Amino acid sequence: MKGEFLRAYTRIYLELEGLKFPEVLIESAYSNLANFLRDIPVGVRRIITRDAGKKVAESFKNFLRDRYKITEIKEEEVPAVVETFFKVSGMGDVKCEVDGDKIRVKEVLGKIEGNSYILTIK
Amino acid sequence: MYNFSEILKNQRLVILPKDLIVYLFEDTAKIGLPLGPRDWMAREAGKRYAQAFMDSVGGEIDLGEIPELLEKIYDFTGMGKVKVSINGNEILLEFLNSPLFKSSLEPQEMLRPFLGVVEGFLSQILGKEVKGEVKDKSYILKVKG
Repeated sequence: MKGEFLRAYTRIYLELEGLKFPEVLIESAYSNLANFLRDIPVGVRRIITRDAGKKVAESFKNFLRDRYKITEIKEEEVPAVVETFFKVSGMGDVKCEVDGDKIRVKEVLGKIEGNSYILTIK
Repeated sequence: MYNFSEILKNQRLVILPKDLIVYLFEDTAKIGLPLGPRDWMAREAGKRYAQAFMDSVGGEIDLGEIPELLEKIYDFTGMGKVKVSINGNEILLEFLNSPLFKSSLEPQEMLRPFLGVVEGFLSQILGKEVKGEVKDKSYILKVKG
């Protein structure tokens, strides 16, 4: 049940705390950026994106706590948040599954259908 | 007279959390990527967007309509409230507020990576080269030719 509420809250978070960029602008900037970043070591790139991801998580958790008194997201609730983040942001439709210490995020609709992230919880 | 608000609402959008943008750009600025390629990339993205925007408008946009257009775009995207004025061939875009100013970096440093986007956008819309600079919380853009 909380998963369904989390979907709604994630949508509200993005609507209130999101920046709306035209898709064509993001596509152009990102495709050129990807070429340009090839010279930057993967480790450095990952630190930058991980750091930004952590800041977003912190901001989202603060939003849930301050607005809805939710102080914890359980592992089984992660798919609701991840799937809604991707869908509402316009980044693609994904199916997210938690399986033991693995989280699989698989694109189900989009330009790179079938592509996956497999994340290990340590 | 175009209804820019309606055109903006009908675009295909990507919505990204403010904090993601602020911290990505802050950290990217800190690793000191050279400005030349960054500016080129931003200008290209601005031009591509302008082309798509012009296709939606289905007509030309003249210099006098630029202040309203830019103010609506920045407000719509959430990048900040801006005030735009024109003086001869100069366009002054002042940020009254912006989520980018949440960064620990100076406003000037955070605004710099996005300068190319507005340069490219205006160059394509006006069909004339537009180059600018950042001063405090403003862009000063010069229309050439």
